[in-house]
Amino acid sequence: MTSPLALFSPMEVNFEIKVPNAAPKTGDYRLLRTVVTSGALGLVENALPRMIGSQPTRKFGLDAQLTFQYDQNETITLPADAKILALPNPASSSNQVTALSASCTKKDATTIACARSFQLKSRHIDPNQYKTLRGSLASLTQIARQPVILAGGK
Amino acid sequence: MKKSLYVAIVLLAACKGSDSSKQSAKAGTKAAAEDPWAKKSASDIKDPKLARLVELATNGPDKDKYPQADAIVALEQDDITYKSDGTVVTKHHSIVKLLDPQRGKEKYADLHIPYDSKRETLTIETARTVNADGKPQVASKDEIGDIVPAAVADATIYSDVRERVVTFPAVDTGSVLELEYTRTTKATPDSPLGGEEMLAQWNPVLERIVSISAPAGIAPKLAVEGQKLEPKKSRAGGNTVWTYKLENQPDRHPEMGSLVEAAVLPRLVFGFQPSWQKVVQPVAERFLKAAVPSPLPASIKAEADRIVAGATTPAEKAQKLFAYVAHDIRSVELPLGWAGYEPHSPEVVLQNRYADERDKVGLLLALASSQGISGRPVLVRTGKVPVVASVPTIAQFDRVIAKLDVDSKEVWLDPSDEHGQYNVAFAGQDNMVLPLDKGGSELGSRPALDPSTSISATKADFKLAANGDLEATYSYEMSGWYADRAQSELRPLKGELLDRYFQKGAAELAPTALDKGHEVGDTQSVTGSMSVKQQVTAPGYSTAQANFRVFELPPVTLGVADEVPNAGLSTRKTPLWLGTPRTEKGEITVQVPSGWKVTYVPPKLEGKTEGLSYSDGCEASGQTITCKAEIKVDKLVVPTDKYGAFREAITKLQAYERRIVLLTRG
Repeated sequence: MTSPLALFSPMEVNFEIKVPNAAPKTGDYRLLRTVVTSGALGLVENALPRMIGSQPTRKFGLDAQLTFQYDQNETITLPADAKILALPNPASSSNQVTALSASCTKKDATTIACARSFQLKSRHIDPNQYKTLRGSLASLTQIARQPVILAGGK
Repeated sequence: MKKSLYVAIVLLAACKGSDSSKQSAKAGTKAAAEDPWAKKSASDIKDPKLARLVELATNGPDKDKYPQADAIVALEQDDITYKSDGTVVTKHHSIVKLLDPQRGKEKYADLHIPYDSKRETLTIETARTVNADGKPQVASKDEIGDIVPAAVADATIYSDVRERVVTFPAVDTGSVLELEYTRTTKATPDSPLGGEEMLAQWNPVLERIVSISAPAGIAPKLAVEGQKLEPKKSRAGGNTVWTYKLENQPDRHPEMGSLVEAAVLPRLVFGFQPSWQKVVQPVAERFLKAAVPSPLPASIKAEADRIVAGATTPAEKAQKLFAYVAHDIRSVELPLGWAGYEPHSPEVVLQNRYADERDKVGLLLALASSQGISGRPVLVRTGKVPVVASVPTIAQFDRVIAKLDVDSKEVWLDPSDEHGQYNVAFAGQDNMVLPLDKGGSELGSRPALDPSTSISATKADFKLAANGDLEATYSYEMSGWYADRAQSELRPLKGELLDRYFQKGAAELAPTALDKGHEVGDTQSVTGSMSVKQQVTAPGYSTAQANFRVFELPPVTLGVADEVPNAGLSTRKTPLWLGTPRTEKGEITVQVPSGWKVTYVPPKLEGKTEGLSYSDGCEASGQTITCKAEIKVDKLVVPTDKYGAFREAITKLQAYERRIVLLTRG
């Protein structure tokens, strides 16, 4: 981990995790949740929807306190005998308040590349823009529930 | 005129400037002679106590040795002397070097020392900071003062309780703080004549000393918990002194879900009374005389009659009285013992409409007595900190609750819990307790509550549409601990605030989910189950991926209905606190849209491990899936050596494949 006190360079965190049974068997199939599209890494995915987007409408504008962007990329290498049956649906949208894109693509028989990017463009969000923000956050969590579906294997 | 005034100001400023230049020059000469950058050496200082602080500031251990510590406690010493007239004098001396500028300051640089001004005197002898320059900075009189603790700020009858606040000056990373004070506790009939001293802290402690001194003929009872440690016995000024000393204790860190410090770190328990009988007699007599005077005041009887109006059985009367004291008398969070153990008269409490736990228990006993229901106060220890039977002192207990005799049954009540339920008192389970009965003489034991006393039963019906939209209906029934939590959350909420609460709960499913309606049962009830119902819609909850659709079983929308212990740590050094024994039950039905076939549901899973038993599983029949789950927490604590199996069970229960249903087209 690089120093969080270094103000002029992004903080870097490098770590390795081992997830036993990452693609559990569910009958004849295996379900693999990708780290990136599931939102497992992001505070944004975990906190933002509930923190600022839980009310359906707002009477007053919302001060999100910050604008930000994040990009996540992930490459998944599958065992040689794995067969990909379905990938998470792609999503993409851009408006005054947010921009997001999330997709997983099959690079070859055993490689999947996933990318996810999110921008909060405006710190102050008026009640009309708030509805748009909720829609964007909803897209994120919807994709987060979609795993890579593999044929069962052994 | 304006111009001349301007000139005068400029001249004045110039004169001042020249004065200050001279002063600076003088100061500069003086400073040059003393060389403020030159560090004092501890060997140059004649005062050995100051020399120790300087040595610690300049050459003592630092972040290199203890990279994760907030501070190093170089010395923590408490010398406790029991005098023949019953007075207890405690001399405290601590020396701490701060390592972390934020956490270290928070813990050690602004101290609040509670004391009871009616029974105790507190004298600060030393409060000073030494930095690397070796100069002591003594706390001025402005930096030491008395305040009324926030908890009793609106409760004037407890205003004898004060906090002496000591703010150390010139504190920064590397500062060494020294504190010495003397606390003298007068002998009173309900004085604890004993106590408990922690022998360790989470931060490293280089030297921890506790001495207990008593005159000839008094043999204090002593016990060390959590570590094997024998005292050194000596004589001083006609007294016998038992000295406990520990050196070079490591830096340690609390873990998520740890028990309280007294249950985890070593501690010394001491008492100057020879038996529990001698402890109970004076306290019980005074408590009961004050709380339940004979004859009872007419106002108490009249108020009790008003409260129980309509109740026909002793149990109904006891329930109404408990609800009144719990809800209508504001709870003041004054720790037990800070203002002694004798309660105020019930008339005073009734007039004030606020009370600490002694007074709430006292009022409940008085009201119950007026209706022919007997009872007694019971001292208990919370947090699964074992009460040491061999050391008789009331200082071992941190809460008082009530035990009533209703219809020949024992009923445990905690009237300080404003959301408490009848006969479900959480404090002091699975531990020794001390009933304050007239003529009482010994400890009793209180078993853990049965998991059936706190049940959360959730029924959820989900209807999935072909486009992925979800309609969800939840029905919650909560008793005991769950009802307590639900009332704590929901009682203060009305109208728009309540709507927002349920909308936030709906958002647990998805950010676009909407609360379509909710019903909340009686938030004042002290018996039975509390019910809550909610309908939620979640557009696009489960959309198709090619010919598949993964349906993640939605979580509960009411957080207080679901509290499975956290087993996030892979291993533990300390036991895991599970909380009160309880049961969670879930029944789920899912309606699958036509054109989709159920390919996978979580299979049956059953098991049992220390503190936990569970059964969980789903079945599919046509387009309907039904799931049933039950988790029972039957212990308050999981010991460290059993944690591995416990974690394995929780991991299995919460695995991804146990939360999803897989549908395929066809």
